[in-house]
This record gives sequence, structure tokens and C-alpha cells, in this order.
Amino acid sequence: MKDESARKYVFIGIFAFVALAFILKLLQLQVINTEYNKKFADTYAIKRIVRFPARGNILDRNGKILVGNDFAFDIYMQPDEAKPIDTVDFCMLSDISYEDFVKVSRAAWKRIKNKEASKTEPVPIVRDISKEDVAIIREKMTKFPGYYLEQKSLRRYPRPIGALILGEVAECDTAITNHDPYYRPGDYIGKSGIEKSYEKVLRGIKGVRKVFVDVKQNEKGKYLDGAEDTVSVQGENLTTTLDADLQEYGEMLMSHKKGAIVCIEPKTGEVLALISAPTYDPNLLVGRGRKMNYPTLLLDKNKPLYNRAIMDGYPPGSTFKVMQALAGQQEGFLVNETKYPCGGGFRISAAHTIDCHGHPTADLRYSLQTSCNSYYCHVFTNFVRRYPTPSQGYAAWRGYAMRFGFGQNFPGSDIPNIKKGNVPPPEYFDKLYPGHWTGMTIVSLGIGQGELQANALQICNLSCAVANRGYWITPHVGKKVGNKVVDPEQFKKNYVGVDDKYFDVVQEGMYGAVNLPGGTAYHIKLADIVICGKTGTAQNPHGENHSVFMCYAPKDNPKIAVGILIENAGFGGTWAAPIAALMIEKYLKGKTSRPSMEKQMMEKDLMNVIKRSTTH
Amino acid sequence: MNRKSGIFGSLDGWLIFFYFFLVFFGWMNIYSSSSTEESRQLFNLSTSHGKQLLWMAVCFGLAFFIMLFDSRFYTNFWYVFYGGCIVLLILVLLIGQKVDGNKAWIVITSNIKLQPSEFAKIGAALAVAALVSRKEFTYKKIRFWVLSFAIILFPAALVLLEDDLGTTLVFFSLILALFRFGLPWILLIIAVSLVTIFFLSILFPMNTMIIVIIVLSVVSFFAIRLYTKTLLSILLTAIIFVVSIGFSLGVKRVYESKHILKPHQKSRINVLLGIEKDRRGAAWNVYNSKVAIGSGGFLGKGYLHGSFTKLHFIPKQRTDFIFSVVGEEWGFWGSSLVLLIYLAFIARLVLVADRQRNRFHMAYGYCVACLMFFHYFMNIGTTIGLAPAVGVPLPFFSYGGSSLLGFTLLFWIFIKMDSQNMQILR
Repeated sequence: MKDESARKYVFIGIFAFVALAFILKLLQLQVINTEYNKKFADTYAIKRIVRFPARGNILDRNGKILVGNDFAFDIYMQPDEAKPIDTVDFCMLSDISYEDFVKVSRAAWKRIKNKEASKTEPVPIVRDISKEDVAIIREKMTKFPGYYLEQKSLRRYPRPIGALILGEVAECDTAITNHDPYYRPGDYIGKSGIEKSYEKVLRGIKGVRKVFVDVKQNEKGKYLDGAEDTVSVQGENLTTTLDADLQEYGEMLMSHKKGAIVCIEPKTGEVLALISAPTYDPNLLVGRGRKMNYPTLLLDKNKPLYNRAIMDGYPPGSTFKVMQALAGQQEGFLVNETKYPCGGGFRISAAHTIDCHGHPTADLRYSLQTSCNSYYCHVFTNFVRRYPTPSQGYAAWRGYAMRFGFGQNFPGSDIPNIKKGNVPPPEYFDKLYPGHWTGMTIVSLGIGQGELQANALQICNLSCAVANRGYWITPHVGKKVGNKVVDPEQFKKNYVGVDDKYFDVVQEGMYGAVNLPGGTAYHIKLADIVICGKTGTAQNPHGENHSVFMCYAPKDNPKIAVGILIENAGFGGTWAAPIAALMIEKYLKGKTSRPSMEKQMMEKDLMNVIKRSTTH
Repeated sequence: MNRKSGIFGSLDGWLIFFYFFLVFFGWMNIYSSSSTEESRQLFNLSTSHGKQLLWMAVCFGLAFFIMLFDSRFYTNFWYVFYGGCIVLLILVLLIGQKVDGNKAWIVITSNIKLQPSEFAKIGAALAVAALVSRKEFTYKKIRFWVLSFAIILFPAALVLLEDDLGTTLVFFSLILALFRFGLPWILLIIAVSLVTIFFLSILFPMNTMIIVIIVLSVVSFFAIRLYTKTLLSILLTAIIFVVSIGFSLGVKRVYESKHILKPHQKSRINVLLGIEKDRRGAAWNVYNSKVAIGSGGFLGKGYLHGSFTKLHFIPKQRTDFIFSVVGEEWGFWGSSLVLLIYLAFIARLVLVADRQRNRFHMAYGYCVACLMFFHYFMNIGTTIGLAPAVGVPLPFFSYGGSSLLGFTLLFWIFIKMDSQNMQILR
């Protein structure tokens, strides 16, 4: 019996062994591996419901709304609840094609199958149902279990202006969602223009509600009593520096034309208008129309989606002479009294002459007023010749051009995607003309032609530098975020490295160009506003030359600087200068005193002028 | 001799403490998984915890009722219990209804359903006790081998016909009790070895298995040589080796055959061994249970704060997977404590059983301990992924009237027997 009774310890031993094994397993599950399990438990039973805020409005400098919001609706499908539905009925009701429906739902199911998406994550099936259409759809949604309507806000543009500078809002692509965890597929993001550069303030704050859900996704109350919930906050309003009326006026003047106008307040660098033509009604790319309109605009041969105001551009033409006049003086070899003969042209070689109009031999001021080509060929070659090698001479000249804002894209500006244009480095010419080139070889740069490329923004900026007598402020469009003024320190003064005293003669020259007989833009002279300007003509090997003009006004205490480029419009004085004058008048006085000029400018169609005119 | 006697005789305080602790703590966890923040009513008979409260009252009444009967009632009329259970088991095959996939229920009214297999355990335990307490009982006679296994396997076979694998296996746990009464340990060693080889054969390729079996054989050679001559040891080892290899090959053959095992059965084995990780398929319950327990961490999320278990991710939350509520809400310390209390409870059962002067009482006590142990092993083992999911309740803890009544009856009969221990002269 004694022997048998000892067997009880074997039993207890076996039971203790099992209990010990269980405790070790619990230790592994709960203490050693706990992070892994915590994560899973949270994603399983706690559902995040995201509420999207409306984006902030975009206002002009006077508080007029440029971009606002409107309500629309999306239909979402929740995969784990979706039941087979009458697809024909669904497509008819929501007005989408059967193919689209199949495509979208197949893609959603594929993501789930590949474990890229969870079954509980709603998928947008139909986008942008207007508030007018939604009433009838809402009534019938019960027929489609697992599908539901979700309200959202869409961009609305009260005035159809500024499409390119304001930019567009569109769905994120995977390149963005992979890079930035804030965005989920289907979220909206500012893709270009102001919408892009001020995305962080305009987008607002997504609201997240965490709720318990059971295995059937039914809500079972707030997670942590809502302690971690956040409400969605509408994006802040952005007050821009743009002037809606001026922008609208400029776009009207530029109708039937290709080109760009940029207006800047010189003292502050605030962009008043940034016009690219042809343009389009930004409302076209919002909501359901986008799908149809976007390809049309993309394929349009006049490229309305291309922002001509900040693109790589054209040769700046004679407007560049202003920069030259200032650089030459600063270098010390050019004074007002310096005279170079015109002679109807500048002979580069026996075979090549740069034509001019046969002015009397000009001094510096008069050379600007009349835009004498020969004069600036001399200035350029003399500039380059002052240095030991042409390469060094040209590099110094290029330094001036760069400091005036050419060949750079204004780092720190809040205008996205500004192109640099082109002021080639000396190495470029070393390669092009190996071993042997002089100022004479590249003399066409001296009159703003050749390899030079600049855009309307840069030309306007040159005008600002002259108006400010030696500096320019980084051009920008942001003025106030909510009630907070955008830090002015952010947009710094950029000195061009030319002393104040050298600006007198240049300003006088530009004054003469508009206000003195014989000036290249004398016909735009206004009785009550003194405009200083400089015409330009950008050579275009493919067709009629491009018309260029830069100016600022009034002469004393300038309020506005304008840079304008019109494609295939010929001499800068003909079309560019009058439009600039009208813009100035509009901005300073609110209306024009020359309605006939206004009418003529608006109606002129320069869209289809391709052939080089021989009459000029 | 100076212990109190009366209808309560002398009660074992520890066992009674464990009983009430487990019943009440189990109910607390059922309440946690069944109540919601909106409804925290205690006495609502439409909720699981409300019903369980009613069952508990019934059980306490039953316990009191059992104490009124002399233990000789069982020792003399064990065959009535056993026979009654067998009749019910046959009856359930004829008129039984399906609940949760098992055709194991006799429906009396729509609210009252009985699961005879819960009570058949008691009948079988009494029958085993009756058999081994006979004076002439010995495993030296082949007759008792046959009888002792037949008593157990007959109801087990009937339960298997109900398609209730879990409860069938429960009857096998009674065999464990037989080892106390002379069944050679070698059988247990062989059984454990075969189960080990079974699982290893599925996990590892044959080459590895041969090495494993060679090592096992060498170990067993030295073990056997302690008891017998070298030559005989070599012979026995050779037999062990051949049988093991044959068994391993057979397991592989069966496992890989498409006809013998049903897909879901194979899945369950795969899940247990960690081969199959399909969270949505067979492993769903166990996976979720493990995640829930794991999410409790060391301290747990706090009582009534288990977000996971409350949300019905785990089917059979309140019956087969009640331990996951403990794991999530009470954490490592709480669930370990529950494990240790069960261990203490079962160990106490063994000690109390062993001190019985009446061999019937003693055998019955061992049967109770082994049944409790097996439920505890399979139930908690399932929730933490150490045992296959066969679906047995956790004694006193799981939701369910039949199971609580069954365990209460099983347990209190033994309490009554023990209370009369001192009245029996050696």
C-alpha cells in the first residue's frame, strides 16, 4: 500500500509540469512578445474613422474670394459588408459607366487580396456627386448594402481666373502616399501653384474618431471614451498678394494671345497678378468634369496647362539692355557720356551684322530710350574685354545677370515650379567654341538674344530692381495665413551689386522710352501716370518674334512693376507695351482712360500668327 | 475522530474555497464578456451572465441537496447512474438536436437544453470507482483489463457518435486515474512517446525522424537494462525501434493521404503545430485568442476593459475561450494566478483522494482529479495554442448550465464522500 500511495506524487508532478509549461507560454505571449500582440489587438478592434476638413479659402489682397469650397458626395464601399448588388441599377443611378465600376471595384478587391488594404477600409467607388444629384441617390442607397454616401468639400472658384497660379487639388497618387504617411490613397492634396506651396496650412487637420467595433464592424462605443479623438479643423484661409481685379483684367487683355504678364509691387516683392495665356476656367478641373476636361486641356496645342509666366521662356530681348547699362556703369567703363556709334548695325564679321535702326550716335540714356543694338554690342564686348580672358569677362557679366534674378528660380519663393531660364556658364561656350571665343563670338547676348532665356517673372523682377534702385525682394504670393502675416523676413532683399547713383541715367532712359518723342513706347504715354519702360523683341526662329515689355510706375515711388511677354506679337512696343500700360492704369486708378486701346488689345487675335511678318 | 459529523460531515475547506472562487471568478469574466457599457444589469435573464447567475443558484442548491444523501447512495447505486447515463447517451443519438454543431443536446424547452455527455462523465467515474474498489481487482487478471477499459470506452464511443470529439477525449482521461490502481506506468510512457512521435513525424522529414528515433532507442536501451538482462534489452530496443519507425511512417502516410483525414481535421493539426498560419481560416479562433491574451501584457487591461474579447472576435468566447478574457483583462499575473489555483485545486483533489479510507471514494476522487485536469489542460491549452482546439469547457469557469451542473455534481459527490471519510473504519 505504501508503494502505491507514492504514486500520488507522480500525478501531482504531471499536473505541475503542465501548469509550468502553460505559465511559460503565457510569459512568452504576454510579457516577451507583448508589443506585437498589442499592435494587432488595437487594429482589430478599434476602428479609426477619418473626417476630412474643408480646405482653407484663398483670398486676394483685398479679401475677395479666389478659391472657396462647395459640398459634394462620394459613394464608398466597405468591402467586408458589401453584398452583390444590381450593378446596372447602381451605375445608372450614380451615372458612371459599367466599365468604370468594374475597374474600380476589381482594383479594390485586388488590393485586399494582395494584403495591401484591409477589408474594413472603405474604398471610394463613385466620386464627386453634386449636391443637386445626391437627393435621389440617397433615397435609394438602402438597395446597395455595404455602399454609403460620404459628404466632402470640393474647390469652387467664384471667378474663373488664376487657374495656373492658384493651382489644382487632386487625389494623391501612390508616389505621395508611400512617401508621406499623412496621406491615404484617395485623399486630396494640392498638386500645383498656391494649393501646393501652402498645402500644409490649407489642408486643415484631419479629424480622427476611434471607436470600438465588433467583428461585424458595428460601432460599440468610443475608444477610451473619446480621449484620443480629434475633431477635424478646416484649413486656414490664405490671403494672397494677388489682386483679383487686376488678374481678371490681365486675363481678359490676354485673350486670344499666348504669353504671360507678371505684376509685382517692387517695394515688397508681392506678386499682384500672374497671368499665363491661354488659360482656362479652374472650375473645369473640379469634380466630375475633371475626367473629361483634363485630357482636352492637356492635348490642346496651345498648352493652356503650361504656366508661361514662370516657364523656361524666351530670350529677354532688349529689356536686357537695362541690366547691361547698370553693369557697365558699376564696372566703371560706362558713364552717361559714353558714346558708341550706331551706324545702322554692329558688324561682327564681314558676313554678320546685327541690324539697328540708324540712330544718331547715342549716349547711355538715349541708347535706352531708342534701344540701340549697336550701342549694347559695344558695351558687351568692352565689358568682356576688360578681363584677362573672355571666359573671366563673361563670368563677371553673368554674375550681374544672375544677381538681377536671371538664370535662377528664386529660391525661397512660395511660387512652386519656377523655371530657371538660361544664362549659360562660360564652360558652355568653352565647349561650344573650343579654345577660341571672345566677347565678339557671343555678342548677341549683349542685346538679350542668343542662348539667353528668361520668363515674364524674371523680366518683371528686373523692372523691380530698377524701380528699387538696387535690390529686389523675392517674388511671392502669400500675404497672410489666417490672421497671421507671413513673415516678411522669409522673402529677403536681394542686392544686385550696383550702386544707387548709377540708376539715375537708367531710369531716365526708361522714362524717355515712354515719355519722350522717339522713345520706343512713346505711344503708351499717360498724362497722369509717369511710366518708365523698356521694350524688347525676342527673336523667334520658328515664326514671328515675341513681344516683350517691362516697366514700372509711377516713376517716383513706384507702386507696380510689370513684365510682359506675348508670343508672335512682333515688336515689343506694338502689343506688349499698351497692355502693360492698361494694367498699370487699372491697378493705380481702377479703370482705363483709353477704352479704345483696351478694346483693341482685347480683341486682337495673336494666337495663330506663326509666319514671320516681313512688314517690320 | 473528533471531527464534526452531521449531514455536512467534515468538509475540506480548501476544496470548497477553490470551488467558490472558481465559480465566482468565472462568472465575473462571463459578465465582462457579455455585458456592454450600455447595459450593466446583473439580473437580466436575456444575457449570458444573467442566465449563469441563475444556474449558479441552481448549482448551490444542488450542492446542498447532495450533502443530504449518504455517500453509500453512490457506492451502492453506481450502476443506476452509469446505466442512466448510457440510456441518455443513446437517447440523444435518437432525439438529440444540434447546438453549435454537435448533436449532443436533449431539448426540453427552448430555454432548457441538456447535454447528457456532461453527466455521463460522472456515471463513468462512478463505474470506474466501483470496479477498481473491488477486492479482487488487479491488473494481473486479463478480465479487469478488459472491464476497466470497456467501462470507459463504451460511453466514449457513444459520445463520438455525436460527433463530439472533445468530450470523447475527456473519457480517456479516466484511464489516467487507473494508473493509481496498478495500471503499469509503461503504458503512459508508451502513449506519450507515440503522441510525441506522431507530432514530430508531421513536423519533420523522415531523415530527421530516423535520427530522433535512434536517439530515443538508445536512451530506452539503457533504461530497460536497469530492469533486465543485456540480451533481452537489445531485443526490446530493437522492437521499440522497428515499431517507432513503422508508426512514424504510418503517420506520415495517413497525414499526407487525401482520403483518411478530413481537411478541417488536418487543418487543426497544422494550426497547432504552427504549420498553417491562415488567420481567417482554421486558426481564426486560436489566433484571436492568443492575440487577446497577449494584448493583456503583464498587468492586463483591467477588469471590464478588455477591448478585444468583448467584441466577439472569438466565437465561443464565454465557453471554450473564457480564459482569453482572463488573459486580456488580468494580464500575466492574473492568468498565472488562475493557472496556479487550478493546479492547487487539482493537487488538493489528489491529496484528499489519496487519504480516503474507502477505495471507492479514493478511486472516485482520482477520477474527479483526472477529469478536472484534462478539461483544464485541453481548454487553457487551446486558448494559448498548446493543445488542439477540440472544444471542452473550463471547469466551473465556462458559461453553460449543463457544464456547471455537471462539474458541480461531480465535485460535490466527492466532497460528500470525503466528509464521511472519518466515519469509515479501516
